[in-house]
Amino acid sequence: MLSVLERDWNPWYTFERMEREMEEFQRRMAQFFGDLDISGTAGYPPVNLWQNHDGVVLHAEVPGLEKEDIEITVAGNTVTIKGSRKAEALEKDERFHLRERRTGDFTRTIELPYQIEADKVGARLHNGVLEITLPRAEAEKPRKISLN
Amino acid sequence: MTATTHEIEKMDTSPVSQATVKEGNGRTIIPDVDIIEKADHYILIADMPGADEKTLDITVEKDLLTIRGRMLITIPENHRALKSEFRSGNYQRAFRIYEEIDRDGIKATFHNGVLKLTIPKSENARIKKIAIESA
Repeated sequence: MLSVLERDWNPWYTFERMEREMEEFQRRMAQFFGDLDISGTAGYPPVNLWQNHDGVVLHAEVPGLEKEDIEITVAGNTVTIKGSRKAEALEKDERFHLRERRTGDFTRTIELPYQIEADKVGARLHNGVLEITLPRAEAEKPRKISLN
Repeated sequence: MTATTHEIEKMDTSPVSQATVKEGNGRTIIPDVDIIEKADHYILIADMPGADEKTLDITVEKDLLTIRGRMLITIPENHRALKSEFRSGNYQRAFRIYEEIDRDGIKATFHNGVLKLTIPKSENARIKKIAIESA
């Protein structure tokens, strides 16, 4: 059990630390050079936005959150996701060997290029991914102008 | 590792959320993990949002505990990307475990994109309280 000595008394050993650091480095580089595809973790939660003529679909990674933990508000052309993730409560004599998952309160506001039809916003939660449909306000939708 | 480069799946034909699934590029995603030691067991919690229970794979081989899962992002039909901060890939992470663990007693649950493993300590690794007998 020599490896135990190397690692102190910790019985857990994580292999991918190097890999993780590499990924973080690549992420920062991409951010620096303005690579659109991997724009880095600009905020929490990380989001993907999908757009068409009718509006935007927002996906956010919110693992471990229940519906009740999430608050979505829409105002004008912005959507705000608020939430809170509780830390695991430890009893006496219990301890963390590894602690990477973030906990606490978060707020993220995302601005869209148009006004949102607030009454028609929908949201659902599936496997830790939040999906919010944000329809474009009717008055702002592009119109086809026919020539006489 | 599975090398599925262009797998495209049709979701169920619900009129609202009919979607195609973006191809996985085989990218490895390292999940954030907490490991808590309790009196008679460990708890390993891994954030794996977007993974499906069916794709989860937990193996113990010799002294290696590996967790894996497939993360597929869904693109709503006829939409194009406006912002992309997370992508498809394969969750994977391995841990070395030592003898004081009861391999056969490991239990797993998956809820809201969070994998939770309960790993019992083997009988002789548990802290035993010795009562002091009064003389």
